[in-house]
Amino acid sequence: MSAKTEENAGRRAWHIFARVFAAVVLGYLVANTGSVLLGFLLPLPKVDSVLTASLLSFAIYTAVIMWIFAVKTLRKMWLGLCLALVVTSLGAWLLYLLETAA
Amino acid sequence: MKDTFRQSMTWLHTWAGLVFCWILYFMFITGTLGYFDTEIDRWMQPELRTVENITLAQSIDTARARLESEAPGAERWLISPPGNRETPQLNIFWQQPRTEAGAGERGEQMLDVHSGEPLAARETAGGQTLYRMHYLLHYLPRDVGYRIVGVITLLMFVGLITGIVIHKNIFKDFFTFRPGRRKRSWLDIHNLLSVATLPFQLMITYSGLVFVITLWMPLVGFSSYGFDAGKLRAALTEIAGQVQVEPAGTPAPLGSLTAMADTAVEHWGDSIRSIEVKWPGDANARVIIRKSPQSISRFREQLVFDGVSGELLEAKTAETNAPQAVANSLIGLHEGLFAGPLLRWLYFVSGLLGAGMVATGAIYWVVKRRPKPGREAVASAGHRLVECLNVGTIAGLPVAIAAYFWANRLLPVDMAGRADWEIHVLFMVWLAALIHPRLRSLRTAWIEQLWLGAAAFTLLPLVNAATTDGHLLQSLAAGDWLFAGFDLTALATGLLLGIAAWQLGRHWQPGPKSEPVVLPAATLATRRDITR
Repeated sequence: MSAKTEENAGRRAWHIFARVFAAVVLGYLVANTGSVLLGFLLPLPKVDSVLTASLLSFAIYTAVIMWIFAVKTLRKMWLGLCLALVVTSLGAWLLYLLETAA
Repeated sequence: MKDTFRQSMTWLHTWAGLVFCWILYFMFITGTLGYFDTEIDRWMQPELRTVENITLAQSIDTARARLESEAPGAERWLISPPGNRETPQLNIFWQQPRTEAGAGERGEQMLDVHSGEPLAARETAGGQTLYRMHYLLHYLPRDVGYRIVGVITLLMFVGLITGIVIHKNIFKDFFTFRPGRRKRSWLDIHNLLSVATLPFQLMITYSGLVFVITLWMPLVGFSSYGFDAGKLRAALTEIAGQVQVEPAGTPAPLGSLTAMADTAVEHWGDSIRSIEVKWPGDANARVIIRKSPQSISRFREQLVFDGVSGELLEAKTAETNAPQAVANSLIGLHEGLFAGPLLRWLYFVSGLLGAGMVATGAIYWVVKRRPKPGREAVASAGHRLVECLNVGTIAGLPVAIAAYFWANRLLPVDMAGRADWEIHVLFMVWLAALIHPRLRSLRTAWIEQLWLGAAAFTLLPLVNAATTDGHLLQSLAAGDWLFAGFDLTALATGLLLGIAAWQLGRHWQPGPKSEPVVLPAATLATRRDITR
């Protein structure tokens, strides 16, 4: 965000709204799917890895929120969040399929 | 968001911190009082006397007789023998089996160990309700309150982490205090309180989140077990060390609970916390005896007996699962049930400093944004709202809590819905405290509410003396530290609020338009002294 747009109150409000929306909806989803993926990836017995991933889920969410408010442009933010959402959910889904097939 | 990472994080810290800070302050204050929940319970039922010279066997027999007449065919009974901090009186609890309509009916009674009848004492919401407010709020369905608290706790955690990030010189700033420098002084106090208690704040916040993990992050466990709630619950129950048993459907008399308790005493010494009976009267009955908490973890050592034969089936001594042990330790640390008197006071002070951290943050927000002296700038409506919420919550909530204790002593003992009305009084006074700064100038509102709080707490021991058959000198002479401690804490709180009111009046001179010009940090001198 450049100094010029900063002065524009409307733009500013939109930026804040977009980021709050992203943090509440997309960030929450990414924190959930990310923890799910982590639960599949951790080399621990199932119930242990699920619990560990659960315990870390709020740390993941916090990191995601901080990233959302730190990233420079909204474009980068939407792209990053969508990418993270797709990668984590696809990854988790594939690992789940592998597990049930085995 | 902003030009640099630190600026963005400062923005996030400011707004994540401010938006629900008044509820957060409420959670801190009520949660901190929760560390003395059973002590407050006892103060609020002064009719009850400490149970003395009762053997474990007497307690168990009394409780069992009562449960057999009150709740035959229950799914579980719980007997808590008297004489410890958590249950000073003999407590029984029961739950009927689950029906299609939902969870089975529950009941709870405090028993007179000699007569076996429920104890007669005034109806009160007690310390328990006060403590429950910090995670359920009030006047809301349980689930809703729990969820809101989860969100606010997450914002608190975001506030803590961003606070650390934006704080360049944690060590240097810790020793920095610039009194009488208006804005900077408030920031310095905010930093001092936050940094000094940072480990406690991180612990209490993250462990608070652990309580709501299954509610807010359900996908993790759910999806890993193929969206099969039954499988997930079974796995979690197993590692949690809970006893799962189904009734056989054939009746069989329950064995001797006292004999099983004797076995437990042989195992541990005399530190039985509770005796749980699953499916009493059924052939598959189980008796689970739990030990008093002695370690940080919430996990409690337990012995499992066959309820009919009385044979010891299993002794669970500790968690075998590392992540479960971490979760139990976090929850155990949060609840602090293991803490002795000294550690309990440390918890109490840390909690109050946490409330101070939230309060100074909120005050810094408005002080920084107040119109410059001499300028004609008009404070915005939003600014004015924050100012009023600050007065009505930071100074007003203590008044409301004092009113709660007053109500306990002054409402008619046989009043219908007495317990509810104690709570109504608390919230009505808080509401009045939130409206009051709208009608007065800010300076007057702050000073009046602080003085009111000081008076309400200082007079509390007198109200107690006038309405019960004991008073402070008596309890001091008798060494009754529970009642003496409550009175002394009320006096200390009154004194602190009085000093704050006096200092505020001295340093914050009314401006020409009776609007704030300078709000000096020296008003918080007392808080500063505590942290040193």
